Amino acid sequence: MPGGMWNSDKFEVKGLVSFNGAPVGEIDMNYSGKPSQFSGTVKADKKGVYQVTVYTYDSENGNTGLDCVSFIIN
Amino acid sequence: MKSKISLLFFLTMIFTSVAVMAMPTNIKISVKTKDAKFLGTSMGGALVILKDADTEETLAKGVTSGGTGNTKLIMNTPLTRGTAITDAKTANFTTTIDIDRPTLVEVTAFGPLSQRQAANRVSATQWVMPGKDITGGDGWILEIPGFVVDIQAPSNHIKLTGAQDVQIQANLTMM
Repeated sequence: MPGGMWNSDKFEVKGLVSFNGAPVGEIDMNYSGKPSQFSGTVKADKKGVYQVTVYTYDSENGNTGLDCVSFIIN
Repeated sequence: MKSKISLLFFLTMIFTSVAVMAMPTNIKISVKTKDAKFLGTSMGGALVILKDADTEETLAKGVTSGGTGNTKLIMNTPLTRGTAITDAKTANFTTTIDIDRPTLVEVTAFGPLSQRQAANRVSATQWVMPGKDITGGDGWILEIPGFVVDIQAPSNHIKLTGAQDVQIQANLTMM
C-alpha cells in the first residue's frame, strides 16, 4: 500500500490490453483504498475477446510479477 | 608372517570400507523472496529438489514450510557478517542426503506453489562434503524474484453483453 513497508507508490502497476490477440494499449492500475488492492478500467467498446495482463515493476531492483485475465464482449 | 599379512588385509578392508561408506549429511534450504521475506506455508511453499549436478540423480525433494520470518530483522535491521536472518520458525526444507564422496549438489526451488502465475524457478550449486552439514547460520538460502499479482475481477473468460467499461481488480502482494 502507499507509504507502507513496501511502498506501492514506487511500484509501476499497469494493465496491458489486447483485443482479439493484438495489443491495443495499457491502463493505469491505481490503489483502490484497501491494502494490496489495485483497480483500473478497460473501455471495451467492440465485440470480441479482450485480454488484460496486469503487471508490477519495481525500477529500484527490477522485481516483476503479473497475472492475466480474458473476457468477451458479445 | 601369516598373521601379519592377515592383519594388514583386515586393516585395509576396514579403511577401504570406511572410505566408501555413505555419510548422512544434513542440508537446510530456505527460499527468500526478492525484497521481502521467506517463502513458506502461507504461500504454499516452494518445491525444493536436490540433485547430483553431474549425474542429475535426485537426492531429495520436498516443500518449504514454516513462517515468513522475522519482519523487523529481515526488513529493518542493518546486517553484519555472520548475522542469521532465519530462526527456528522460519520456513525451510531440511533433509539428509547420503553421499560417499564430495558431491556437486544442485538445488532448485520453484514457487510459490499456491500462486502459480507468480512462481519462478531458481537454482544454485555447491560442493557438499560427506558428513559436513549445511545447517549452520542460515543454512543454504536461495533468492527467488517476483511479486504476486492476482486478478480478482472480472472472472476469467466471462461473457459480457454490449460495450461497457470493465473494471479490473487485482491483489498485489510480496511473496
